[in-house]
Amino acid sequence: MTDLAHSATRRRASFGGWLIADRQRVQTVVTLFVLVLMVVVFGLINGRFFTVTNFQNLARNTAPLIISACAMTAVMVARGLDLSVGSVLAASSVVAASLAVKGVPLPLAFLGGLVFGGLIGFANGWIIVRMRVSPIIVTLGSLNIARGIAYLITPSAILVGLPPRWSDIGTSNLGPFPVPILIALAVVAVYAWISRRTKFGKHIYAVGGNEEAARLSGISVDRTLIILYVLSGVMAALAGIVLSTRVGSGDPNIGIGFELAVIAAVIIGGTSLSGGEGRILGTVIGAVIIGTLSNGLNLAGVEPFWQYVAQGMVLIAAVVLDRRVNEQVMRLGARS
Amino acid sequence: MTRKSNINQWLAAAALLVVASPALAADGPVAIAAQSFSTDLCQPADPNAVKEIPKGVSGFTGYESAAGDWLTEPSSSPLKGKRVALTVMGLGQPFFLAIKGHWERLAEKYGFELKVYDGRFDAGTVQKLVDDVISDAPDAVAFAPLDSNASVPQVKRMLDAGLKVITYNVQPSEVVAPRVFANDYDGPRLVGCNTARYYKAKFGDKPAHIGVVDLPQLPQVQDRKNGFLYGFLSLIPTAKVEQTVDGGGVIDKANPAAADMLQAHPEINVIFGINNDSSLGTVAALKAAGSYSPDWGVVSSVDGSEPVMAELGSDASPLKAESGYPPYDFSVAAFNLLGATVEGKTTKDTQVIVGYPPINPTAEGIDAWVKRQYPR
Repeated sequence: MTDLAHSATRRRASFGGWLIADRQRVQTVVTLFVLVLMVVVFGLINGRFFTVTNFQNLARNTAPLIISACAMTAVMVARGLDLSVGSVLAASSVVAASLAVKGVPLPLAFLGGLVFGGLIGFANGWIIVRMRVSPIIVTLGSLNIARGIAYLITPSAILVGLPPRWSDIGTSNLGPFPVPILIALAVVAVYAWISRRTKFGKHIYAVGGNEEAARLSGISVDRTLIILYVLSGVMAALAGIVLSTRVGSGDPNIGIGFELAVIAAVIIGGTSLSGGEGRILGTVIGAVIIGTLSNGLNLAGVEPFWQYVAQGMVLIAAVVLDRRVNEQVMRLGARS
Repeated sequence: MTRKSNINQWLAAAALLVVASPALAADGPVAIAAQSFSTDLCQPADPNAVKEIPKGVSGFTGYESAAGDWLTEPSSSPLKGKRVALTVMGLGQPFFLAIKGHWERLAEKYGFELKVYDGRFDAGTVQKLVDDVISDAPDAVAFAPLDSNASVPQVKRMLDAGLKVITYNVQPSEVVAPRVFANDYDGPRLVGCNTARYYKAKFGDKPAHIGVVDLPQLPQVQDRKNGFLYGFLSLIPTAKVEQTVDGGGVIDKANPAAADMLQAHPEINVIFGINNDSSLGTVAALKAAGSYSPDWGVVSSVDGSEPVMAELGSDASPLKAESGYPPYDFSVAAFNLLGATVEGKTTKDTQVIVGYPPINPTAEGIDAWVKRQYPR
């Protein structure tokens, strides 16, 4: 074998080694491949898919999902689940909107929404940890409570009389970048930093990997979980503010089914349902896949009923492909 | 704070919005819309342009009978002293919340006991509330079906249990009980006519490209869409329907759907929203795309809820045609029909059709609509 061939083999081996060294990394790369494939296909179907305005549109629409999905990733890595995010999103946006209608300055109104989201999150975490109740049950309960609060706060289905600058966050751009996606990217950066660079991040993975072992090694499992649920509530509230400033209203009906999209984004992104594994970057790609699918199908002019079928099929295919390639790569890794 | 005072605040805010809007120009979009506004249905200029548009599919459309005396509040009611059950599709919608408010006022005025059941727009919940109503055995039931087919056995069960039942809004697919409903085809058809009248007055012969923010699951909504298209194409036969997207009937889903549609077809300059969430989602999409201007084109819809009134009465907004779905008319008609049913004066064939009143976009027109349908 020539030196050149040796060098190429070494490069391949080192790339494979880098990839295989981290199962999560494989998963992220595969998910990214699925996304790129979708983008190429949708771009070929309709040239307008590749326009700057469409990417702005896509970014604006995907931002709330990314924000909430980051928090959900951390919760699921710690073997939790938060089904209340859609309702918290709605209730928090209604809290902020109703404060704004009453003349409270917008920053304070938004802060009020975030605090409300944090309180619901705290209640979720506290009950789950202290009362030892399943997160599914607790957050299913708070899903109903938060939606009920949203309806109780609003005098009717949509608040009117919002200040003119209400829509600034949701509709304005900073250069070519819609503000919502910049907020989402800031959230991604913070969560990525927490999960990879901080002690708290390590605690999250430790709690999800083996709660008892984490407890025995001195980690405050209860505090970790409560903080994660508080953050999940705050991020759902932030997503709600971004969404309601985009649609220009405080509406208690928004976010119905949002929790399922968030969980789907997290799972597509490779976070394990049994906890201990997950990566923020993968979740972001998962969220973008969901947003791209909806946007691409609309641009392709697919009939609405077929869109349901197509969305379901593509999501299943994405996860199946992800698992298959993952298995193959790991097998190769084991062989080498 | 009580819900009633909340509603008052809400209405005051809506009224303020309309009043506080920048002064309307004498030749501005609102003035043009008011001048071109009509309560008359338009007839097809070219029958070929509308021949492919489906007729009404929701089962009970095209009746000519008018609401007449059914819309008058009587001096006394046979419901006095009775126990009445009112079901609503979902209290999350302004229309049903207003229905509840009107019925609560009627209960107070005429002295009957009212119990309101919320279907939460969920078939399972509606099924359960039917069981609850039967268990409670009230003297009379005003029932709002969620699904035309599923409601037939639901109404029959209540009738078999000896209850006096009328249905309102969406109708059972069989004639099983007296009913109140709207003509879901001709009401939106009138919106289509008024949208086309405004479009011609503002844009002349500029080609019209239509997009629809739809909710394809519901037959009633398909009537709305097809009625609108029939009306619009009657006056502008050259208009082309570019795309229909599923906006889910809620603002947070309608908004990205409308945004995608505008991306796919930037030539679209006429958008019909099948309800107010759909048109408000479209308005938000136009704002995000920097196209929110009456010079962009025209948005129209049906429902007539408060937030849309601010758009309709503003020179800055492209939303310039709207027909109302009248909660007061539905409430009073259903109340009178239920009273007549308790007295044995109706048969299962008795029906009351309430209108889809087109709303004149002037301050007076909006005020008249709000005062009648959402009184303080």
